[in-house]
Amino acid sequence: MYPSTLPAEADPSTMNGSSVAEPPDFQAATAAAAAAARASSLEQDEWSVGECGFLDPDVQRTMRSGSAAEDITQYPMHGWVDVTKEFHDACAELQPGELAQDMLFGLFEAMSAIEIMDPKMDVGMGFDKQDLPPPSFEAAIATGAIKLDDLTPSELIGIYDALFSCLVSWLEGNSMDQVLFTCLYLHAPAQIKDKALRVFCTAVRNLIVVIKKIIAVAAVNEEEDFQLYGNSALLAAEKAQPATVYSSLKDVEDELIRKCKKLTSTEDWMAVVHRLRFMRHLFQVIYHVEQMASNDTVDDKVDIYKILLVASEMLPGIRNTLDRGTQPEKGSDAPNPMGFSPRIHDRSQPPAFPRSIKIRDRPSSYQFLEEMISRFKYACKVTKYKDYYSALNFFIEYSKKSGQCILSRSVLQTLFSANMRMAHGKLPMKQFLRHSVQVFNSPPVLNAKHPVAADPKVQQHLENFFRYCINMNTFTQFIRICGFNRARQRDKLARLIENFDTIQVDAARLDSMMNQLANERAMEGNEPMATALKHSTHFSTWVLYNCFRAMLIFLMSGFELELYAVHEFLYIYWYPYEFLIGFLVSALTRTENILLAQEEYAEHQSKTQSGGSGAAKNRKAAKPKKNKKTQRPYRAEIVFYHALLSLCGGMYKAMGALTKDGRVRLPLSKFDNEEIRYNRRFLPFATLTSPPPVSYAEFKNVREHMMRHSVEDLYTYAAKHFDQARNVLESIQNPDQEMLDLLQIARTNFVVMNVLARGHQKEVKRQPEFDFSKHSYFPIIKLK
Amino acid sequence: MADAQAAAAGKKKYKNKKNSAEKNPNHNPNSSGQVEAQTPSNGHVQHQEEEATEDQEPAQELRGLLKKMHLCNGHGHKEQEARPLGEVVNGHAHGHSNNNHIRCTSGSSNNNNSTHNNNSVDSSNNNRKQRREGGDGGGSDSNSLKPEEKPITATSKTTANIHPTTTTDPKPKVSEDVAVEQGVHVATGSGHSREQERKQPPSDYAEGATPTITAQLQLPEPAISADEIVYKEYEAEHQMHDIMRLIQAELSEPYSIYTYRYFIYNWPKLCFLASHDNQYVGAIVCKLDMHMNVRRGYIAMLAVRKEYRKLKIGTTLVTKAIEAMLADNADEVVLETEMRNQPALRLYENLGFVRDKRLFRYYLNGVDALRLKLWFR
Repeated sequence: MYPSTLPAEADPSTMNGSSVAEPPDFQAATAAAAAAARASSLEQDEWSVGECGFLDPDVQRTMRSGSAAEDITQYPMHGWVDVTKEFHDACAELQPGELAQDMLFGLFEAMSAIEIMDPKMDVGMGFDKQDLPPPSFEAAIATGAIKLDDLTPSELIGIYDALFSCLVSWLEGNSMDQVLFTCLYLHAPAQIKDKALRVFCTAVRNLIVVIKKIIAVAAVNEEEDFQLYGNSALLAAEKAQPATVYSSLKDVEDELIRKCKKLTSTEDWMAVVHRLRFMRHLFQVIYHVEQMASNDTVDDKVDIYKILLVASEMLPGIRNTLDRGTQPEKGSDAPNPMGFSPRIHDRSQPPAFPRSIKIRDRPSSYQFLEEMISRFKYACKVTKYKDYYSALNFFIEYSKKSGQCILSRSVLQTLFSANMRMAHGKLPMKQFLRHSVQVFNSPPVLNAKHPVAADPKVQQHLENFFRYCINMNTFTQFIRICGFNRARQRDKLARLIENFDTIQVDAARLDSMMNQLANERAMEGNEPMATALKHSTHFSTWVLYNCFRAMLIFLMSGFELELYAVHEFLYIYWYPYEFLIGFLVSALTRTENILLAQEEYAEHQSKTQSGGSGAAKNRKAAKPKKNKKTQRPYRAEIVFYHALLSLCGGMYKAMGALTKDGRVRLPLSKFDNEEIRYNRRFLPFATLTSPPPVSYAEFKNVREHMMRHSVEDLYTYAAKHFDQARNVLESIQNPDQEMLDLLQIARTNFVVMNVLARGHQKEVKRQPEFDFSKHSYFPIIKLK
Repeated sequence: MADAQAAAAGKKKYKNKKNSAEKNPNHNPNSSGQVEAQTPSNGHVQHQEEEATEDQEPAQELRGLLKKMHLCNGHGHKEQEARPLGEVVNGHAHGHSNNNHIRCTSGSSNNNNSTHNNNSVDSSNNNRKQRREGGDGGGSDSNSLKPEEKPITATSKTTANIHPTTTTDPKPKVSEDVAVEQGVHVATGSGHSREQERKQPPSDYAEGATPTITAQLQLPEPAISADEIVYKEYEAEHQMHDIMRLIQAELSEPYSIYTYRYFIYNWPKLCFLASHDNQYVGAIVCKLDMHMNVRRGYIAMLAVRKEYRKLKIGTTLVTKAIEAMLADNADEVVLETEMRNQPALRLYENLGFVRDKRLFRYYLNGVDALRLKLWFR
């Protein structure tokens, strides 16, 4: 009917156009064409309005399901009124280029206008005369396009695999309507008679609801990661009952297994069973995480890991039977021949949405799911890390490996703390932070066994400090920030760093009060308590260490995200080389020294107390040996930072040499201002009292001093730094992959610097290539 | 020294602006808006035809001359490169052949980046549309109002579309209408008479001068130099469709005419056009607005025709736009471009822009973007 409707509508319009008297200000052709276009607009309006323009989603669905035949063959007709004359009269008042506007509809709003019949904007223009509108669920049933009963194993496998592909495409950030809900079976699973298909589709719908909740509660999602909003009308059509999904899937599995025992050929049916079982275990894990996010009391986390193992075991069997299901037709956007209508939601999408989305293919979708399960397993390990230092390290490492998967990041956040008020679901965050400082550098005032901990004044100060830490939200935010995608992390770290200053002040005040109390106790003659409180820098050091850590991550992430131009490398590497890494090493060294001093003091005290007993002596003599093993817990990290220091120094000197040698492209000076660039790059550090900001003038002085050396000398100095880094890295026992990569970078750059120092390519000054493929922060310098 | 040169260049540019401004008053009183709208289109069509003719004849008859032209073209390139060298740190007025080659490549890239950049900017705008649509969804009352407005908008565009397709057939009808109108409205008839008079001289001129035009145009066409590119500000509505046509030719995403109107009507002084032989070959469209207490300039569209690369048109357009924004007290200039659009990145970074943020999956095709910034304070 649609093809015949258009000509019928067009002919009267043409006649009307030619017969209407032209207004004086318009040419006949213009008027006729405008009338024809107007008539076409009328037709489009009928279609558009009837389909989705003015009606809410419920009415739309009612209209669609009212009559299957009607849905396919024609669209509602309404009593339109011809306003061509009025329109022309109104237009006659406008000058060329003049626009009518309303308080609520100005130039900005006009940008959202859709030009009717524009082939790129008007989605209705996607249909040609041979292309019927995409069928809805009810229409497809009426025409026999989809089956509701007696599906073959091949058909089930095909639909299952296609749905997993849609699920993966959705998790990658595509619109739910354009991937998952192109499956007509998901529109009304209750109407499906085939039990295996019905329970699977119900599981998918429930999985959608549960996953959305996990991502929403974790709150590490941004618009580029995942679209939380979709066709809620379709999703709400059948109420989600996640608690019953598991048993439904299990029942169907058991039923099919019993059925297999009666058949001679069971491979296809077992393939169906494997997919159902995989879905059941995947659903169980995700539902369990969602329950943790909601209730914050579930604590049997061990089950999650075991369930994940079972899900992993299903995947090889599934992969081996991918070809047993129905396969997508060539040239079609549908991921399966039956049950999918790729353009069903074209009209309900905002016009700016992509016209089509390529749904992931089946093998890579299962690959994605396998990797996601691996990430979930890895995330389960977060429960082992009971203090802030180790937990933060875990989150930083996890972010490097799982940065692209929003669900993996959300699951980790949920496993650690659903609401950032309780750590691991049991421990109040304030207690968690207290415990963390104690583990980090063991201040006596946090040791319950130490008499100083009983002092009411001490307890009051501690309570105030940790409550302040919680209120400022800085430490918890640092962990949450690790859950965002890598680009957003950098933005949020900038704001986090600015917040550290107030906490630094509070920590310094706390340490100062401890010293004051130490003096008071000393005057009272209470030597043990005075000693415990003396020279306290525990809290300042803890806060500063975390602040320096955030600063280093922020600064170096600019390389990972490719934000720095080559001519900026100089001051970006200079700052960590000259200041930041040294600060980190100082903080850790100070912490180690504090721990050592406390160990010695405890040892001294125990000897004094046990002086009178020979048996006691023998028993306690064994302790010093054990203590020595843990005397330097941060040695490995300090050594690593020494390597980073040398690498930054090498890059700084290398960039100085390359710049002086004329091998670095500099921007034209017309608009460029290096001082402004420098200040902007270090802007997040500007508000900190410690470390103090370093002005552009200071940097300029340092650079000018360095640049007095000859180019050859600068290359040689850079080579020495890289060689020093190599020495440090080679001294590390049991190096991990990152250290091995850095070692290769140090070796290669050492060679390159020496080659340049000897006058390689003196005549041709070309900018080297900086290859960051080995490490995010440090490149291999390649000459062209 | 460089500053002095820049100042001199600025002065020259200012003079150009004055000339352009002077032309405006003379041009406007001569004709009505409608006539203005029609004339450029006709000229454009004729010019295209002439170009086609030129392309054929030289190939057949003047192969030797082509070789000379090529050499001349090379000479022109050297002259062009000499000036940038003055600004660039290298300072070599005459380099080795390798250097020449490198510079040519760089020039090509610079122009190429303009083209690529447009796609990026377009995608960026399209992405913003998506977000606005999301916002629109929130207000049901607003939605109920907008559909009523849209038909008017669409029809207006439709009318605009009809004009370019006018051919010889309607002319008799026009004459008839004019005849009818004359009996009723003398003033209207007078207007139409002027239109007819305008149409005749160009035809005579073209016919009579064909040999001359061919002979003259053969020489400059292959040896276009940067000097022949004329830069000017946006003036009036009659340029709108030329701008749209130019930008749409280089982009793949649909831009409603109202997107152009939004930027150009609000910030007409931040729209610059590059033309050659009365054809527009490049355009830049910007805005300047308060954004979180910062006076932020934004480069929305930049397009340069593919046939006019290597002439620094993109760089010049961006430079003029930045100067205009600076004159209007901008604190910074911002734009987004695709992560892998190397030519665009090179153009902007050469002017001092730095990459401020990386925007994951910014464009609808899933590609990352970079937000580039040039800070002035």
